[in-house]
Amino acid sequence: MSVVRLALVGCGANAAALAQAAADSRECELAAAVDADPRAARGAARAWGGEPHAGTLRSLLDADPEGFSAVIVNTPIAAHAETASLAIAAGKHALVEAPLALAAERAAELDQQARAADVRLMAAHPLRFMPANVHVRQALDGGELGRPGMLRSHRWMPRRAAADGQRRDHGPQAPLAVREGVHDLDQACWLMGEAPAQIHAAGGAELLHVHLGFDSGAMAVCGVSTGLPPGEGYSSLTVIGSLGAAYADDHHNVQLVYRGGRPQALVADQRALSLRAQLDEFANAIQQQRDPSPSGADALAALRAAEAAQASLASGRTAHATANGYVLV
Amino acid sequence: MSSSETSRTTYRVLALSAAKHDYVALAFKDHPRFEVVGVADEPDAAGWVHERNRRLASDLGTAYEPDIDAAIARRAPNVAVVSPEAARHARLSVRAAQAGLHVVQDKPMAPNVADCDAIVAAVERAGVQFLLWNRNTHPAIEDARRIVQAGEIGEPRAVHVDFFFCKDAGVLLDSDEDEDVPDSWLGEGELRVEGIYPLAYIRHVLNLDATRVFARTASHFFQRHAARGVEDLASLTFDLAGGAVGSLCIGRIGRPSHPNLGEIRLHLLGSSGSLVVAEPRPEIAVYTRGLAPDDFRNRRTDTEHDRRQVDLLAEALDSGGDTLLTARQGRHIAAIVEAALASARSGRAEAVPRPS
Repeated sequence: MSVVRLALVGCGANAAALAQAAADSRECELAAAVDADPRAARGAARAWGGEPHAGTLRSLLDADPEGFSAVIVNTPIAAHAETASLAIAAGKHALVEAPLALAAERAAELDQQARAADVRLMAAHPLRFMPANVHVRQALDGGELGRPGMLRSHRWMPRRAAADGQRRDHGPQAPLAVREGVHDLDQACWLMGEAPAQIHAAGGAELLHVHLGFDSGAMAVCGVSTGLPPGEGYSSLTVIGSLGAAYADDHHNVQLVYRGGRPQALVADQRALSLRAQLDEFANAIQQQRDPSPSGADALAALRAAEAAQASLASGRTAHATANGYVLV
Repeated sequence: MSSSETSRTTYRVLALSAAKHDYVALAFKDHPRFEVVGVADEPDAAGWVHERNRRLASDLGTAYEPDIDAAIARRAPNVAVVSPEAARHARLSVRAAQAGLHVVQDKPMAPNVADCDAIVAAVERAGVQFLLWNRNTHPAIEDARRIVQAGEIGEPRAVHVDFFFCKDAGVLLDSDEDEDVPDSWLGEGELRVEGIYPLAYIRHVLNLDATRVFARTASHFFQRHAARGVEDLASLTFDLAGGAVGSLCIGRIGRPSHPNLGEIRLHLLGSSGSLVVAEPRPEIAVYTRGLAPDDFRNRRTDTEHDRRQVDLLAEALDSGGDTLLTARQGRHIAAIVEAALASARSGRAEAVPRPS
């Protein structure tokens, strides 16, 4: 199998981690680092290989259309769909930071476009690739936990990271449910094996709480916060099945550091591993000509759920699934 | 009464039924401020109930009398400890309050909010104290309360409680066996019965009321829950006063699902910090060849939490101040549960019924 040559489009926040994942992967290599800011493009290329390209995906396609076969879309959220669409139109596979688009309708168009062009479209949902979460999924797939009944997740991020995310958002702002909650909703759908039939959300500017009900009778409660003080975040995942349970969280896994005062908790950072595994999945899907996980359809389902959560949050009502999407009850 | 006289007051305790549990009454045994003077119950209680009552009386070193009025007249108690089947909670607690006894009552407060309202009215009319038995004196919960009330995490924005207790209840739904549900199984849902504990944590730590609830429930694990149409797994989201968000995930998740009593934790988010609390801690881990599969691997080191609850009751009785979980607070918890069960049926958020 040939190595997948990637163009990283958007060298702002998260670019270093993505470029490092490309450098660490045996399936991929970074061919180009693209950003309107020449310093950002040079910085990414210098650190992780590839050629810097000061410009846009369109100008890279004009300059070197055969130099890469796939694109990582790491632009501000408002430009995800447009950039991904351009890549697909040029016959390039696309790994797009989630959400695929600001609106599910546009994400659906993107998914259709990719299928028509027979290129792989994958949304970046790195929670699927966190080593702990992979083990939980394996326990479910192996039947060890029985029928899944309850999923409980918390993901808390510090304010500074959230502010960085906002700064990347030139143009329309995505609400928290779409910007961050989409990851937790994808995780819930992925682990529970179905899309939610009921969605009830609560929260505020820095807090999203989403309560899901599934047709199987299972339920999930997902909490996202972007309001921690500057520093490290926290993550917790519990899955309760009819025969057993799995607990994957920072509370169980902390190491302690004593430097005076209250001890500090130290959590092993496995994000780099998850990004590399995500990139490997993208490359393998390209090489094997199959749908990646998550596929465009998966990403669309998560985005629809996120939109329903936002509608529930705004209205105080509960979103129920219908044949044509979600309606508020 | 002077403070020195108060410190010498001994309250006389009459246990009214041990149909459900004996541990509430046993918490008063050998306490310097309380004397258990008897066990009593209604004469027409079931045979197995009389048997449990006799056993409790023996454990307490006191007498059993299957006649409540006679026991009250003969033994002159100040406090009734009420732990019959839930369906009789209101009847016995109201009866005790009307006799002028302070009431300590087992969970749940009552099977419905109307019964809770009757208890509240009786207690307030009689001017007696009411304590709904709870777990708020566990060290981790007390620590969480201190941290939150000291403002260390700022203004509370969200509280999430997991209350997964890993006990079994008969035959699994996933089993090939069929179970004949025993008559002594009271057929109550786990949210209704056990929900009082985590909901009381929220009340104790944050001192906030819930106004609206969205919930899902399921009979996910056990045949007996499914046969009776009650939940062994539930999740609640509630709007709290002041705009905070609360949630509870609760379930009788089965013995193999955790090495210890269960996954019981609080996640608290504030405007300037957060807190993750494991309710069972402090605990020690013991692993030996002699352990059976059902033995817990961890053992809590605090054995005084029930004693502290009784200490606090004595303080409340002395001072006339609030108990750790009053009748009105217990009623509010029952109202949250009732709204949650209604929400699980309707598929939409339901308002928590306010006192009439």
